[in-house]
Amino acid sequence: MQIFETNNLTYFYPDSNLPALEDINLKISQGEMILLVGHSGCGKSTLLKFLAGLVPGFYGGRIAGNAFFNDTNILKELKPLAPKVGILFQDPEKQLITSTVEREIALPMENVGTNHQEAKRRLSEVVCAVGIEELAGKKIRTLSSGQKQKVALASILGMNPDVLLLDEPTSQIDPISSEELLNMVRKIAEDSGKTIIMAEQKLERCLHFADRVIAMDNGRIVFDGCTDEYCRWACKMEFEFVPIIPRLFSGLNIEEIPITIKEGRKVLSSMLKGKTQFQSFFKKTFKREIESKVVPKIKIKNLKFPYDDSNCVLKNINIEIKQGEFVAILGQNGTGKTTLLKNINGLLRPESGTIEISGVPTKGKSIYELAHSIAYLGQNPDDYLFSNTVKDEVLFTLNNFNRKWDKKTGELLSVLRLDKVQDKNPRDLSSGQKQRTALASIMCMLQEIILLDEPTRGMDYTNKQALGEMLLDLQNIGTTIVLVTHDVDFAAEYCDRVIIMHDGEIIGDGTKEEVLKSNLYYSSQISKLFNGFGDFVTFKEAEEALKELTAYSDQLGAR
Amino acid sequence: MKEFLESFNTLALIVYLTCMLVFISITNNPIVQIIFFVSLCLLIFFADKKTFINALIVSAFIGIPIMIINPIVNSRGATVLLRLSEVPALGDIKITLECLAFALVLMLKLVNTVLMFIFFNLCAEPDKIFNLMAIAAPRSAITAALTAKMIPNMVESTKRIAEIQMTRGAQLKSKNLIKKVTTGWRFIKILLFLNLEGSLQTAEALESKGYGASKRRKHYDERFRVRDFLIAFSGIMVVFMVILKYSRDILAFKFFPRLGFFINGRIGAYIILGLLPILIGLPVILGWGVNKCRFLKRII
Repeated sequence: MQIFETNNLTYFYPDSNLPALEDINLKISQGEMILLVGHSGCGKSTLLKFLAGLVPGFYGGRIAGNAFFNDTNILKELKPLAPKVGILFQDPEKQLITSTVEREIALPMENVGTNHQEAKRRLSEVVCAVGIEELAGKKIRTLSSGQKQKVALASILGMNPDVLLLDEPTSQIDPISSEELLNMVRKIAEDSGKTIIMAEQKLERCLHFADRVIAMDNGRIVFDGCTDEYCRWACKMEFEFVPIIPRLFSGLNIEEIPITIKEGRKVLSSMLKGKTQFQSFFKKTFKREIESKVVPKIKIKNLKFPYDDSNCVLKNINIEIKQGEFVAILGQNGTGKTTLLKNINGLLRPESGTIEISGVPTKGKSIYELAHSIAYLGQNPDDYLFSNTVKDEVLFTLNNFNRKWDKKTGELLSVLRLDKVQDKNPRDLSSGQKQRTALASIMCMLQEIILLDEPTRGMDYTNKQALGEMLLDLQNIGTTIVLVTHDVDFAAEYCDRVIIMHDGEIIGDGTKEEVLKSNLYYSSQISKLFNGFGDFVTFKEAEEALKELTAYSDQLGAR
Repeated sequence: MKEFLESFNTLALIVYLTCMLVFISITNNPIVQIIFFVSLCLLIFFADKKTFINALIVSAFIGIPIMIINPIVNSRGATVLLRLSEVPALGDIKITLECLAFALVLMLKLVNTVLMFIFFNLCAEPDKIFNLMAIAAPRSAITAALTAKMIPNMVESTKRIAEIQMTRGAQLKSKNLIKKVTTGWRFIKILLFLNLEGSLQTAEALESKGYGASKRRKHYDERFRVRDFLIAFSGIMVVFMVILKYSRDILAFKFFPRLGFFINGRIGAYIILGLLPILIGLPVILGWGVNKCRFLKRII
């Protein structure tokens, strides 16, 4: 049964001359699980908000075309389609209204006038379905981001909607919670018969359970089809939004492109069958050579830091980071990663132990003094932006340090790809540009060390790649980079060294190959795929290896 | 204690708050305002000590400028305490005892109003207010919900923004007034940007959850218990005192040209002054009683 239909739908936000949605023709049937992919700002969220009845009703703007929900023209009334359609937004903080879990789940039911008995039954059902039984009596402010997002999901499910819309639901939460939430979505899709339309960047975690993929670009639908077709189309069209595994195999002449690691390993295993000579070659040729760097830039000795008397967040940390190193710090939420960065740049002071920057202890130095050599980028770029132009934002920092705009500042903006937007208001820029502006505003002192706290959170693939390459450019001019992240694939692709923290202690430290290859959880997609076949961690290495393997196979075939 | 205070019915709390505010706004007697101030301070202190400290800081910020400016710009009154001639920009200044007393009452009225709201904030749960307002004024309920979320968010963001500003070389503790003002303005700008954008998303989320789409049905009805009758009654008693005060001219006070009597000798004045702290402090007195006496706990 068809649930949604749109014909030549075009929508402009108020005061915009560019369409946010252009010529959208869609037919969505009941029970479908659809994945919406594309760049940030390509129109995914707008389409979801339109399907929820929020656009244009809540935002205003101009709309043309036709749209039907269960054969009713939804452009006539322009009101939210709740309770038939529920939408889960990106940021868990912003979508929770009440102060307790139980009331939050009951709120939509109260709004739509569900009777008391029915509401009570549904409340207990969704609490169990989403697995938040132990949270039911708690205050919202005591929950983690992941738990909040589950509560938001439960609250929407309480309305018992026919259609569930999810707008990048995992972008603001940690990987373990993301995994749990996506598994929940999968279960709902498989068991409940609800129509699910989800915009998501973590394709490797959800592409395999989607029935259909819709790709968008500049407000238009550029692809609409099944998962397998999508992978082939995206690789052919060089559309970046393909998970690593299908992207890796798409260049090979194989019938069915693998999507999951399990499928990938199967293909790899069949390719390597009987080629023992090649297996040893695999391991020797692609062993990465690590450059030896000598000058220690950050030296941390026996560092301890407690937030209060009973709870020591950092316990006896010892690290030496050399000049020009690119280090990733991985670990679960609350293990002390951000606290460690704040101890390095002086925002927090250690209880005991020492931190040396270029051989000079930080003890007794003010944040202002340390900021001359250490740049720190927090999690939310919006916290940095208040000036009218990108240039003013950079000038603010320069003025604080009594510096003037010079040639090097201009060059920094070019490296950060901000030279063309320097006269624009930073709040009007894309999320990637906003983050680069925040980075420019702290890096304009050309510091030797950059500390970044979860810079890839909520970023799409293109922005992540741009950030990674830009950091490599900075590393090439001798900058030491320390990055706190949950994104193992990003760390594997761009960093030299990986440190794993758990409960305030360092439990793993070494080159990315040493740490990620042997780890069960903190392991990149590529290292999981090649586990037992070869020592690859990055996509490039794996791609080259597969090319060699194909060429070798062709040679054998020719003989 | 806070848990007990949060158990009051929102409607009863609103009655209590409104009656107290009526009394504060129309009483000019310094003794009454001082009693009100002390009672409210004790009330907040026993409810939540941390809030009490913040309340004192807020009171100082509001009160001190009034106490300074009013006697300088107002020269009425017969009892001259200090004369200053040819003060730059202000000319001759005459500070009188009457003006100081008037400024004190003005300050206490404002501070007591703020303290009353602080206490109300301690007792009233945002969810209950939202539910109550959603019936009477649905659109205002959204504003109330957004405001209730905005304030703690702003407090949380302030620390984060301060850290970021420091890493960008901003001197947050500068003694230079111009620097202080520009830093403050920058803070407000970032906070407003962050929170207004956040509020829009919250309002959108509320709309997507069917708010205003059809007739609302509450699933969390608030009971009106004995304790709620008691605090509503204490508020009504305070209003009765206002009526009594006006009809019998009790505790009336005149500032100019000379200060009148603080207590005009009638028995009614002593009864009001004696009852007032008990009526104001009733919520905390009940909370204390409930903790100490099982019987009281059972009946209220």
